Amino acid sequence: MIKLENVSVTINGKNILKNITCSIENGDFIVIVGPNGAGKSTFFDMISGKRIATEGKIFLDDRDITHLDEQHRAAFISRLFQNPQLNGIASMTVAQNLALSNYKNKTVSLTNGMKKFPAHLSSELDKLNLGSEKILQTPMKNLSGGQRQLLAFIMATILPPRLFMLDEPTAALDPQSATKLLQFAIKFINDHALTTLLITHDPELALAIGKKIWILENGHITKQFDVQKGINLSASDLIGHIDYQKLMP
Amino acid sequence: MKKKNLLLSLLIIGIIISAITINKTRQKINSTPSIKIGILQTASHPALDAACQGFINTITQNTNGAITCVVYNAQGSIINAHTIAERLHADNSIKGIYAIATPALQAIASVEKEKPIFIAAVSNPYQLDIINKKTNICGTTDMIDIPGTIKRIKDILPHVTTIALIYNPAENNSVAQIAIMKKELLLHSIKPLPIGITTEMEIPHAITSALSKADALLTPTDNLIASAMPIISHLSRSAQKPLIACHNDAVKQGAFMARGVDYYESGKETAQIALTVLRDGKKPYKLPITPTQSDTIIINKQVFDELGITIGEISDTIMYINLSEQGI
Amino acid sequence: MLSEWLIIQGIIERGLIFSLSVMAIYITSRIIHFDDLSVEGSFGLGGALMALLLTHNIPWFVALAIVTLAGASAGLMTGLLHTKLKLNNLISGIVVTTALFSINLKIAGSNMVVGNKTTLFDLIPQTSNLKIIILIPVICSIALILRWFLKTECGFLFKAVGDNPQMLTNLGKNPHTYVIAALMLANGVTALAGGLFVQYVGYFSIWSSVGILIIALAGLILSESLAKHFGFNLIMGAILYQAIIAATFELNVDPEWNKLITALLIILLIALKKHSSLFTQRQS
Repeated sequence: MIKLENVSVTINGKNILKNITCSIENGDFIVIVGPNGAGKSTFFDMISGKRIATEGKIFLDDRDITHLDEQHRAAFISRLFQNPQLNGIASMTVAQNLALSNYKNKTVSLTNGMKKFPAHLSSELDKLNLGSEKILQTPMKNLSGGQRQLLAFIMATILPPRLFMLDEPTAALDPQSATKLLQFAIKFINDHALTTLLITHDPELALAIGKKIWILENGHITKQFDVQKGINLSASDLIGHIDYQKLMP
Repeated sequence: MKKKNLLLSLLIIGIIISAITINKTRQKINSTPSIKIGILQTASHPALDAACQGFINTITQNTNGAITCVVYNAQGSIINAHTIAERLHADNSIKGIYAIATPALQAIASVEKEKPIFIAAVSNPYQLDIINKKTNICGTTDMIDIPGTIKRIKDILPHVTTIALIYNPAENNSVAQIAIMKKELLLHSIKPLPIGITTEMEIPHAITSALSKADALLTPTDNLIASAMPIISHLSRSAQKPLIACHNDAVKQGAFMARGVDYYESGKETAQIALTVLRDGKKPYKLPITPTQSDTIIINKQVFDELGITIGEISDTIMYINLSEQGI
Repeated sequence: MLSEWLIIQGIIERGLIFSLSVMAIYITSRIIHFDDLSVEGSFGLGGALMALLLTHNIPWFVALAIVTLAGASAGLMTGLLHTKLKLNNLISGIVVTTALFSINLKIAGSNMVVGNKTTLFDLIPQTSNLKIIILIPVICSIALILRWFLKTECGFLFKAVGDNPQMLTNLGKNPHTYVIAALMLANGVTALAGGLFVQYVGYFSIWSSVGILIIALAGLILSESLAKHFGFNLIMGAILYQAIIAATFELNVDPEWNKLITALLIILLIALKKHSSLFTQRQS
């Protein structure tokens, strides 16, 4: 579905992504691991359009989208940012945020802002304890970290995207909320067969949820593992594949 | 909006009303039955201050306290002028209003149609479309005799070939005077160099540039220029070039010469007109609005000596004065 | 009591007109978080154009529409300077206000008298001295229209772009479009205020817009001590500030101290409000 051909990204003279060629197929669930500074967020930026590739090409199906900007790629890509501020409108209520997220790919009109509130999600929201009237009227910034991420997830997937990208979704969460989020996320992704890319620091998590694991080191994708093909990997093996020596700047 | 907030804002308005009522009661208790004149001064600068003072002094001297004045200053803001105008209109103890300068007049005239309005330091009230047959406006203008002034300049400073005209393109009166000045200067074979300034910041640079290109500077009656007179005269004296102004107070502040409006005199004249209306019962529309200006040429002695000029033959009276005590 | 009423009437009338600029500043500063300093320029533009149109016998309601559109284009300018030329918010507003001074001067000169032309206030002939009767419904209607607008999808996107422009990108919308739209709306409303002011006083002066920025900001701050949302609190705040100014003149201690007294009254007012809210908190 998405093909990268010899993509490089240079920022301020520094070559962050180097000559990457890879492809993401429909239905893939790829976890991207790598040390800090490897270029994982830049990799995401380049796919979502926040950064335009300095060299190389990206294709969606057969269409060359290398120079398509982030706003227009959003039609088929949904992204959950690491910084919770970027995933919604902190000062607006849960209900308003849900309505807002349903404006995606639709023309904006002068009808009441709450008209597009996704009423069909009421039961889903109740199951996640986000459906009560009290919560719906709470500003997003007053939710707990876990609730906020859950809400952000729902908002990003109201219209199931062709590619779903999550950048360290559980990084800022306590273990309980992290588990809750992941359980929900994985079920959702599987039920809707969403093509997903997920970045994490945590090799155990990668092994637990990914169907494919890619290791990004120093701007290169150094290894690609297909877990479904029954590879016997343990977490320490994964760590072993990440050459920490190369981390030295 | 919550009820509490509504109540609070009503409380505040209540406080304001109380302030007004207390003020009124205070006035009633303190004063003997006297006629009050409300004064609205457009802004603070020496020319308008002089017009105010001349008026107040004349009224006080001639009525022994039977007529008193209360002064308000809009500090250059049109919106404040309106707030004050509204207040003067609403106050029943104020029987007449003295408006100093055009913005004050416009503000008062838009709300007050009945009480007499006395004016000074307004260049051309007829242009404002507020004077009709039964008008309540009377007083003096500061319209200057430009042809006469230009002729005197030629007589006194025959060697001058270029004169820079410093004015404010955003003041109507200024623009009108400059147009006539240009015409008259050309008639006397002097080249006019108009230099427009709209804020105080621009003045030092514009004046310095003007002084490098011209033999002398000429300023019309203009609020901005009047308030910047100290710096303009200072720069002229440093460059050893004569500065000719159109209001006499400027000479005290260091201008070389003026043959024009004495704002203190304007205030006095307007006060006399006010007395005719308030004491003798004359109707404002029966009294003409006249320009005040004298034919006396006022020259600053120190600047005269600094420039080392010899004055040719002229028939006018010349009055030599010194710099004001404050100096420059 | 008659004369007190006249003063209060003036306070309310001016407060109503200026409340439009408070609403405009609310939209720019509080919703899209763009501090727009072009208030003075737009207010003057509305006034200059209104004077010009009225003296050329254009009907007052057509003139009001035209000046609003002109204000919107000033907002468009500010928006484009910021989004396309990447000028900082404050500079964009300052540049536009500075340019507008010259433009306004060219449109109407330094002073243009409107005289006896028919204005909005002649709508009900008997009330031409009671402009408040017309102003209250007009300003309230505008406030209600704006409040309705801010609750539409477009209004939601204004709020969103001020909080997190990335969200708009996530939704496939261009954040710049909404910033510019908000600036156009705010400046259009401010120009409308300028036009109404000229109809109110009967003439245009290039100096009328001096001080409008402070009036709008002070009005906003005072209204926020009443309530934080977009509503009648904005009108009350504008009226309150006019009341404070009038009170300052009323006390008339010494004209030169006036601005200090105004500042003290504002502090007193805000302190009173804070104190009273503390009081009610303790009770509950």
